[in-house]
Amino acid sequence: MASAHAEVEHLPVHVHTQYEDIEQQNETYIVGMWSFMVTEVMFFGALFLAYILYRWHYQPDFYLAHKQLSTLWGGINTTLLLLSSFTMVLGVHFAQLRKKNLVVANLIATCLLATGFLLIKFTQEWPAKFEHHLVPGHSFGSHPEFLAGASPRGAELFYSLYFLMTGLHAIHIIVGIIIIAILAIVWARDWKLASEDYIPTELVGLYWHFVDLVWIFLFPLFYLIPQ
Amino acid sequence: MASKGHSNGIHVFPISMYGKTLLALIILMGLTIWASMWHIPNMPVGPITINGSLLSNLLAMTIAVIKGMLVIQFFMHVKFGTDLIKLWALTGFVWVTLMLFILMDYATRKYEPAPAFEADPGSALYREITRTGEHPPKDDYPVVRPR
Repeated sequence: MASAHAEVEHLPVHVHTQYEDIEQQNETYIVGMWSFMVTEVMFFGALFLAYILYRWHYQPDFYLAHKQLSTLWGGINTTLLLLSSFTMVLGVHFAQLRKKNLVVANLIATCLLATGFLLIKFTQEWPAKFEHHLVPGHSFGSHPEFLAGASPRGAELFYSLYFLMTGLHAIHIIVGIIIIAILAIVWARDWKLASEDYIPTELVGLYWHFVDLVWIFLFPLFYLIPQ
Repeated sequence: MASKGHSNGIHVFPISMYGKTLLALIILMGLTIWASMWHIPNMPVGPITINGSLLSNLLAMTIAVIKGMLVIQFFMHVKFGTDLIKLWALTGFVWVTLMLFILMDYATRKYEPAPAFEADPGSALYREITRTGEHPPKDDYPVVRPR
């Protein structure tokens, strides 16, 4: 750690005129990003409240309906997201050391892992729900064998929340892939916007870890419901 | 966290710290999947019964909170941030906690109505007392009510 500190000590940093020093400037950026994430916590928080309320009142139906979700694919997806968080934080680490090639490599790895997450979701998980008429709508539950004995009402609430919450999360993943890809391009082309300061990479990293954080809660709530 | 003076604001952490965090996260994920495979039965302890399903939920959520804390503290560097950053990181979660207090309302509706209170037939949740003065609250009321 000490050697890494010695390595970065000579790196020049640019302090904008409105800031006292670099510490205040960095703190301001990070607090700004956290302010955005507070709104995200509120956004998802309301959905979690809805989930708790209906899970509470339809627990037996939620338990029966959740058996249609694959713990294996859910676990693989959780692993992919955790790994992508790790590569993202490595990207931030090498951005601090200004090692361009390693930053770009880690950002691309993050994008690939995130794309893998989406591919599994859109090829292994969601199509089966459409085929089995488990998507809330007029034909919901028209094949009752896939409801596994759950009441259609409770199961429909379960799948409404499932598609709403994992769908909103998937949108965040897509946005994240776009942002990280842009950041990788900025780094690869050596634009000063990102390559002279690690903060842009750090802020994108904060967003990406937040997406990971949401999934850490979604995974047990949808895939691991106890009886 | 930073020494005053010549700092350039870059605080580098060893890769091993991130590696250990990742390892802990993967192990905890395995633990929560493994724990979910076991059905905890209801356990009568003296006069009270411990709800096994509730225990399972508590376990799963405790693990999720630990994993979340690891991500926030180490991947998001909040542990090494200034007090202002810590305060900001906490704000959203405090807000969600306050919002969850709404559940107190839903939890106590079965004690309605007060005498001479008419249950609202269109309300989202069932009320266990449908006629005035019916005590104690019935537990076998159907969860899904006809509208």
